[in-house]
Amino acid sequence: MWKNILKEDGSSLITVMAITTIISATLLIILSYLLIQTKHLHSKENYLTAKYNSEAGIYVYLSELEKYWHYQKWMRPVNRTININPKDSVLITAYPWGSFIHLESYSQKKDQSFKLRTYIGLNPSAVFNSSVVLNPKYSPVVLTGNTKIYGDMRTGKHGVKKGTLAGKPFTGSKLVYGEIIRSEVDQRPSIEKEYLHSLYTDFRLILSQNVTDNFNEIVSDTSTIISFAHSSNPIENILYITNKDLNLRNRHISGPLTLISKEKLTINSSLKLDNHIQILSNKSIIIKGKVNFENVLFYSPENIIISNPNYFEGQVFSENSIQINRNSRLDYPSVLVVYTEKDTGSIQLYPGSNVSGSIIYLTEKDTLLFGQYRGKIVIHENAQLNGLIYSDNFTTLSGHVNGTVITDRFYFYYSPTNYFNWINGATIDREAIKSNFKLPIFFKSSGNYLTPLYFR
Amino acid sequence: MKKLYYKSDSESGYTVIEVLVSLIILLIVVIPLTQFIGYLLSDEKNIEKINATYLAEKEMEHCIINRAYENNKFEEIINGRHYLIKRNIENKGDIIRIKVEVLLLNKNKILANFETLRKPDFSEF
Repeated sequence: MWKNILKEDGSSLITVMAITTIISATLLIILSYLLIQTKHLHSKENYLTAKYNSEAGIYVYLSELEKYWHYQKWMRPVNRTININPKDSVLITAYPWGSFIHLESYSQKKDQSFKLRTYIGLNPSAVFNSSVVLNPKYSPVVLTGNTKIYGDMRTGKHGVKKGTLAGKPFTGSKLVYGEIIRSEVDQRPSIEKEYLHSLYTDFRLILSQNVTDNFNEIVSDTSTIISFAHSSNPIENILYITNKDLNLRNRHISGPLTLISKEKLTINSSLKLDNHIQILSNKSIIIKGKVNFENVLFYSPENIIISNPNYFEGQVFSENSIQINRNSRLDYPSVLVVYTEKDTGSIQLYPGSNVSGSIIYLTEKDTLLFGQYRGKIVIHENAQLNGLIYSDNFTTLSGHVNGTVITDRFYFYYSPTNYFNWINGATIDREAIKSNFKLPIFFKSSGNYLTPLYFR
Repeated sequence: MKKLYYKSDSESGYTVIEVLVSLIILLIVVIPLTQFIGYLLSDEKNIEKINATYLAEKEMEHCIINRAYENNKFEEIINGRHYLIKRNIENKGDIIRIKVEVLLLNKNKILANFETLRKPDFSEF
């Protein structure tokens, strides 16, 4: 061609075609760039519209929930569309999830979609701003050793005093680094026992069902990643599981899903569970493998023991006792609940353990046993709770609480004596808790309003 | 076919130099023209839209995070362009509708428009 160009002999068509191609390609690139830019811009606009619609969906649903709370609308799973404005709507999926309500809001705007997930909990009312709230019948509270209390303390009319234990006096320079509010009126916020009762009744009902679908029949032995993402709530899929199924390979099971068992479960594997899996067992549950659990819920009428998980964010419900062993960490918003008709159970945080969330011990009946054998929450030395302790029985504190302690009485045993309403060597710091800490939903009757825990 | 090919290979109308010169002239005219038209048609509008979307998002987030639940109107200048940002709060019972509009000041045309709903007594994250 170049030879012909030089000769100027018969090359013009090819040259024109070549140059035209170059020009066309250049123009095409420019136009494509403009087109992509415009598309990107519209995508961004649609994405933001979908995002704001999803958020709007959460608040519209929350508002309805608040309005109809007393009709217990929350008890049934919800899957419906809500109109946000004349042009847009969102799909709302909600179901009770232990101490919270799980809520999803899905919005689509042309090519863009947005899904928001949150838990609905409660914004704490003013009484939760105190570091300690006690049954006013029992006062004074006696502080001994190096006990330190930061924040207001609500007690009976005899307030707080120093005490000496086995020759060792109270070492602090101040009794309470805050106000001591004395009152004969019980200022402890109440719990909607009805809610907890329904929750536990549901657990028992699910366990009593004659489930014929076995986990090992629908999942092959070689599967390591098993997803049930097609379900809209955990009750839609209820499977019978064995201890072997939970320890076979290092499986990753993703919900929503309910797994029930009639045998003692001991999880030793590096099992991974996420996206709303509840495991309900008639017998005790022991978790001691390097597990990764997120959005999980465990229920057992017997004991539940957690030892050193790799990651744990979830809720644990027992009718007897919960034990968080040494150096175990449970992330926010974890919740440990013992709700029992006996009042001799316990929730114990052993040395080095660290729990972020709420610990609740509640007795079904209103009249409690007398004496040292009553149910209790025990925070051992060097254990830490970031959040709320609520016990309608005893609380034994030797560790650290960043948050609020609401209890009938404090208690500890130092051989050979029982010390009622004494605190020995604990720290309670109300200011150290994060301001966005939210309560479980069964504190609703105490004037707390519904709120999302986070947006994900 | 062979004849046609032969014919196109030995065209003797314009010389390559003539064609090249005409193409260069064409390029000198067409390329800036295309850019100008493209700029007029798309790029200028896109830039305005990008800025407006950015401003609307910024205002919406500011309003939500700071719980600034009252009407507001202000101007902002980006690269010499004057934008008017309007925040409108409408009460709908226990819920409020937050509407943010961004206009190019001299054109009075809405370039970006977002709305969402909130419950004023709820905390944000």
